[in-house]
Amino acid sequence: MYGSTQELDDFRCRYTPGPPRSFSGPREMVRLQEKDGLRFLQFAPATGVSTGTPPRSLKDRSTNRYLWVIDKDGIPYIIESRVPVIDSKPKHTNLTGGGDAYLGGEVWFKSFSSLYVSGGSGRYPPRDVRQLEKAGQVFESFGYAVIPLGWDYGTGRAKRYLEELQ
Amino acid sequence: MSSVVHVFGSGVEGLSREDAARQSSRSFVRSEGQLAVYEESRNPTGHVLTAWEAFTAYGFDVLEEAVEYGSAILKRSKDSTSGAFKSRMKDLGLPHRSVGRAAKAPEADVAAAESAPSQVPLANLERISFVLGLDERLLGFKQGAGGDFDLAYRLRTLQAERSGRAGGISAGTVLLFAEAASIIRVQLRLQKWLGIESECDRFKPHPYYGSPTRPAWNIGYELAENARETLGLADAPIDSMRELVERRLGIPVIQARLPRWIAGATVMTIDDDGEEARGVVLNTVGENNNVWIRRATLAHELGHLLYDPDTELKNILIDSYSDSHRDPESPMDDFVEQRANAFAISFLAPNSAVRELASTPISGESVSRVMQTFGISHTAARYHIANSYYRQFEVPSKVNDTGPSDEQTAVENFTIDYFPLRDTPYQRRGRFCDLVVRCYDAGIISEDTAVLYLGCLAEDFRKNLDLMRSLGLGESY
Repeated sequence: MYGSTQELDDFRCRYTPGPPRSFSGPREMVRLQEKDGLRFLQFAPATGVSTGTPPRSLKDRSTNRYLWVIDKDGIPYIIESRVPVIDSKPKHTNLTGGGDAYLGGEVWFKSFSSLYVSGGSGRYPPRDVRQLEKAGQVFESFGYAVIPLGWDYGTGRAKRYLEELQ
Repeated sequence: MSSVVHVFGSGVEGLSREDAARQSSRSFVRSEGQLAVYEESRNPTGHVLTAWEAFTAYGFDVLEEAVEYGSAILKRSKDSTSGAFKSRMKDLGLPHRSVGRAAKAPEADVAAAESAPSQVPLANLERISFVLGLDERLLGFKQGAGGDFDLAYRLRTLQAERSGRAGGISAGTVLLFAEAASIIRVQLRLQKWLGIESECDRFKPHPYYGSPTRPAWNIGYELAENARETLGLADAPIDSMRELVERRLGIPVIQARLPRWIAGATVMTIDDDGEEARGVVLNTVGENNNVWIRRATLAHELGHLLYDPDTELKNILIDSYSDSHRDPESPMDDFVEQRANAFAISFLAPNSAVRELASTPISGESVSRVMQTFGISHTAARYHIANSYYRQFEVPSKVNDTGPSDEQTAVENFTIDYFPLRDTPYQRRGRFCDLVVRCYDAGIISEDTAVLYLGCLAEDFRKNLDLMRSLGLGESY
């Protein structure tokens, strides 16, 4: 069952999906199924997910990171751990079968109704800060409190660690 | 698709990671906390790096993460950047104002670098780190950012030791020496990347400074003979000390405007592999304006650099004009300096050749001949001729008015008199600039890196690049 909201529909009207920017082998093009652990974002609270935290730095390891994309079907996501059918950790293209998507990123369930969201994806990177913010609003429209990791203007990419100002 | 192609892009199929990094046309960009593949359309404000620079600084796994996730985290811990600045500033005991002035960065940014570096433009953080002797590439990525703690400690000790004395060391001078460590490290790195061979490895430190029956100056003479032999110089005059030290021996020679009492210094720091890296700082103020004095200063520092073990070098050894130009055979408490003085004069003018030129009875003309032939000052020539004859003969104190020829001056002069980039600090001109331009032309370093190293604006760098090349900066070696 694919979850949807008005914000998700608006998002898909506003932006054009695109093919993956990179991939490094056929295993990454296998579309994973629900039996492989693939889920679609539903209204909060989430069920059957593991809570986790994004890294604060390189030394600080992330726990229970999930990958997500927005595509024509909704917001598929999967925990980033070894999947038997591909014998490796999933890539964002495993959520789409190598097909088009609007953008992708990482998500951590702070609780069953609050999320840390990043746009960390090499295959479907957010095009700019605005698109990433809009994606955050889509997550919010599903009833989640969203803590965005934000944008790194230095690299022109989504920030991938949680920065706490000193 | 192989992981090498995935990371470095097409055109590197079948190559090793190292070769692929060298040949990749892909660029990366870093911010204070992350590294990503560079895409112009994203308007990143960070430091653009060549694939080679990114690979050598952060390693393959980090680059692979950057491709996989759009960016890779560089920040080692949440306070790794601020901590590096904080401890370095504390170790060197420097006020923010002095650091800001040297780095051409606002004082407020220097203060913020210690508390909230993500609020400071990366270019300023990098400029500040360069003048503090930190490795700007490793800011945030490595605890301490590659700073040499021993050098910082020694500089602070020196400053305290000389506090209140006529020959004091100001914060500005400490900063110049700290920056010299950055210049030495980068210059040696760029030489290595360009595949420039150096003959410096043929020399090993010599820990012997003599005994009551065998004075230090005697060891210095022997070492000079050994150095001449190793370099195949026989008894011939050395046309250009600058060329010999910089090109043949590959030793960084940094020209700096230091307090008037300082002749030069030998600085030891650590390179990218944690190995010791040595260079010479030469004062362009004071007596070194005379190329004959400058040659002797350089030869003196060479004596320290080639033969003093780490224990004597103590990371930095500052030489005054008065000590480094003394008669090597006069009584001195400091055997390290006495040996270096003897090395310097004998390296420039081998004893046997001096005896041949100045046969007894020693005339004013023969003193002049020794000065002109070997490019040494009148005082040095007088001492040396007397010592070459075991002080058995009088050496005339009056000679014909003589000084360095135009040719001698020209070959020793650095390319600093006319330099197209007005903003480039004095100490980064010359050979350092040459290597930066060459590495940029070879695609080894990016424009951002070249601009950081030369301390200039990107527009000025672009505008003057052809001029720098035409002046021989970038192609002369």
